[in-house]
Amino acid sequence: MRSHRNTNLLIAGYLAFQVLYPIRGLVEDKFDTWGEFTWNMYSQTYECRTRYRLVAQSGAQQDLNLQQYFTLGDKVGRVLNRQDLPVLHAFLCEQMAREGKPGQILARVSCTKNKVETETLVRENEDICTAANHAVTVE
Amino acid sequence: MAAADPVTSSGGLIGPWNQFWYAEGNPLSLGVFRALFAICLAFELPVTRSMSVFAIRGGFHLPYLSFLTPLSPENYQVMHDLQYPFIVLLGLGILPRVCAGVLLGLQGYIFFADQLNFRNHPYFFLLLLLLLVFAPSGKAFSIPALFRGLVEGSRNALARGGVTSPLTTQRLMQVQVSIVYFYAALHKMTAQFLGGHVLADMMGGSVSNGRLGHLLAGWLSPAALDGFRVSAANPEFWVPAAWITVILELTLPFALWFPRWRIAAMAVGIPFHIAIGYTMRIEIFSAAMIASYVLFLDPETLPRVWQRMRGPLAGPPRSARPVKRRRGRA
Repeated sequence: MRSHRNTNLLIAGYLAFQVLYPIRGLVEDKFDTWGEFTWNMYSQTYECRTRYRLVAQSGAQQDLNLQQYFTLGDKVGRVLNRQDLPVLHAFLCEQMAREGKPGQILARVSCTKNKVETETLVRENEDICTAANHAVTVE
Repeated sequence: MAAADPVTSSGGLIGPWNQFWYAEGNPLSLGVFRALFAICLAFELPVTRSMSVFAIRGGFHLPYLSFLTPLSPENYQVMHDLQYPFIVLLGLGILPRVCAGVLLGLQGYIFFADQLNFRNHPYFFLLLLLLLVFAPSGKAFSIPALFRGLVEGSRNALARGGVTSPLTTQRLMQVQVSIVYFYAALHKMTAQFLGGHVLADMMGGSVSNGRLGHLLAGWLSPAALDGFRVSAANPEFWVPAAWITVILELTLPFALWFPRWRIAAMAVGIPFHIAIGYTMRIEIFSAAMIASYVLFLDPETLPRVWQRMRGPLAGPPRSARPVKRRRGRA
């Protein structure tokens, strides 16, 4: 028994993670987190409508195409949840600065889960670069 | 199952725990799984290569671990190309633990370099690679086992009859497969999934101009096919399939463990995965799940089958073996 102690600890640790962590996917909402490592395979649909608009100091407006910043354009939806959107927004603000495009970024992100539930994930009239939590709504 | 560990006599929960995790048995199932899994890995590699490109520098990044820096496109390709020889070696059972470790490192780097690379299928494969690092999977159904057996004069060198090894990692793989099934089912126990909404959406493409549509076009008249497509657009059409999916995914992780239900579970699970793999184009994961069924077989089942096919398992060298024992009974 003594010789199995380390192995037992490894087994218990592995099992604890594999059994307990996926529970996160059952209690957290798709709007809040993507839910990876939880084996939520093909269990729900998730679609989002987005509009990101750069408003220059002159008042000129330009819609931003998010897909240009993603190596695979269809992966944009992966970050359209409350946990990851602040990171995306921070990136967009830095990217606009890098591209020499000062101004406000106003966003509209509305997602629908399983064709039924719809939530708005971003406060539309706030600049995602200066607003609290990058204008991402709280659950 | 051959329970050889003396600590199994311990009382309380420790005894069953040790009996479960430290039982020993023939490693042939594990060896066969290792070979099948290597084939799955080889087919998965091009898919992962095309879908894990967020590990490359440029664009938006969302790393799991900040020290895993994005790769140059050239290094990204090299890290995939490098995997092929190790997959071959893993399949042949040559230094399988080392190969699994190298593959785990290469695939793990790319996987964890960016959260946008997450997919359940490579994650499942990574976990199996991790477990193979600790598994004695090269003891049977491998080139080294073949040579060892030939040196010993066995006619069934690949099966390594008489050889036993701890089933600990094999048990962990079985548990892992069961966990995948179980949580996949729990996530589907929602009104939307059971009401057919999710499947209607996911299968829509397959029905309209995908594999299911093409398959049915060979059997149905154009009018009947149009009628089917109209019906399949209605979520209610998919309610039976949704319930069957959940019931199967809840049943299989338990049924596979019990000898009485195992064959029935496999007989249902294999076509279930073939159907999913074909219609939803997730062939490799489906193949890996089917391959994992071999791990659930009693450790002596495959050697027994092998024995029936090839004759007696490894015992004394051929020259020393009594003539009467050269054809063992099944």
